[in-house]
Amino acid sequence: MPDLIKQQLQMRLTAALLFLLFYIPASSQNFVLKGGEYMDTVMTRNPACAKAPVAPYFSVDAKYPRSSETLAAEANSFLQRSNQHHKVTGYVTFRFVVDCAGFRQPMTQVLQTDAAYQKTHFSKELINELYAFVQSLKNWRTVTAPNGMQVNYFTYLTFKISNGKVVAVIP
Amino acid sequence: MGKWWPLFLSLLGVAQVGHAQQQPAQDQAALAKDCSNKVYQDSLVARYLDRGAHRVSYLSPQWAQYCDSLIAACPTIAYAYQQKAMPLIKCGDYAKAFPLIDQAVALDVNRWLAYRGFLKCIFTKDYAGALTDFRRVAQLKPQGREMDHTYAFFMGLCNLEMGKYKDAEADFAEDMRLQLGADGRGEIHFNTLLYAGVLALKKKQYPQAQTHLERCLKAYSQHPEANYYLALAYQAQGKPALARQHLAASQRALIGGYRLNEDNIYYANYPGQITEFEVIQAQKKLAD
Repeated sequence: MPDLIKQQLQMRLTAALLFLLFYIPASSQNFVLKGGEYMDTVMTRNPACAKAPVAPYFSVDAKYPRSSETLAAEANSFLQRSNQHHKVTGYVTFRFVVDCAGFRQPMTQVLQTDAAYQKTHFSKELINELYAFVQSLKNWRTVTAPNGMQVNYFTYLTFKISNGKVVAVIP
Repeated sequence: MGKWWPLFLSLLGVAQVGHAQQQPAQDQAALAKDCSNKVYQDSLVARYLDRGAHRVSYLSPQWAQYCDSLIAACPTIAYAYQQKAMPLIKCGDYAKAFPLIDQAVALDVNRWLAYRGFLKCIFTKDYAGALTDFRRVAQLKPQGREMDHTYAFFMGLCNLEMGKYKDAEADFAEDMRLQLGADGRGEIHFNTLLYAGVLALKKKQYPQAQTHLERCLKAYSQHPEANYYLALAYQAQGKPALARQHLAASQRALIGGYRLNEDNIYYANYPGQITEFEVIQAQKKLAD
């Protein structure tokens, strides 16, 4: 076979492999690290919050200021925009830090279980849509400690999904 | 702040990897024998939990290490598994928390079955699963309580959230009967009255909802949810002035820091729990 034809065949094969690699839907998450799976691993630092103490959400009464019912309804409206149907059941949790100015930090861990709390992976599309919803939430509380100092806090949002519908948002 | 993030995540790593002390086989056999001894178990709990884990934050990696040490020393102490699971639940890691809770239940069903039902009801909103646990524990301990409430109270919440209103009505009636006691003189918890009111509201039994919620407010006048749902009951009955009055009271209470008054509301919302946002939405709807 002439070299030119061989080269052309190799190029076509490489292109086909690249196509398969990037276009076949995958169930893996964005970043898999030793400590877990992450949607984003970027750590930003707001200079104004660098010296602020860090607390868990529950010790500073910092749940997102909407009821579970309101958040579930908003999440479902958000998911309907994509017009995709994910007939799955289980829990998807995103864990992250909100800084002292009320901005959610990009570094976000994702945990997924089925309804029996066994680890699982849902479709990448569903996870991305739920994460986009989390990113759309802009009313995180700012917390001031009794000494007047503002506080960064760890928090999470869990979506309980039943047949593709968000039926509850925790906490 | 960056240095705290790995610490938070370390909760998971430590829980997964564990730092249990390895014991030679001979020692383990001796320990297993001693582990059936309640006095010996109590001494280990005092050593690893009372004077160990409970002296550090439960978000510290040391917490799980102390629990693992206790489990390694005596794998039949249910309390060790529950204590290890507790911070994981509060941080949303159900895959690691629930096997530990299941182990606690397997070792001491009388003590931990209702607790698991509570976690499913309030934390993970698994109402069917919670109902199964509470039905089972109600057979074992008909007079039992969990987090200051009867099992019937939580069964009522589960049925309410699953839309099984007739069952929820029976559960709240049983909850009230148990609270009143044999002499009928006991006090009904204000949140029993709240949820009985919410149930009546969902069934569009507005005068009944009004009665329960007004009784709730007699016990706890700043109750934000009772004021909110009473406003909805008044609104449904065509009484907008009273509805406005109670929405304003609900908003004032929330701004003033009043809450539904359950120990775990800081970790997870109770069913029907509201925020100021929902009150403002209701006020706007009333003004339209």
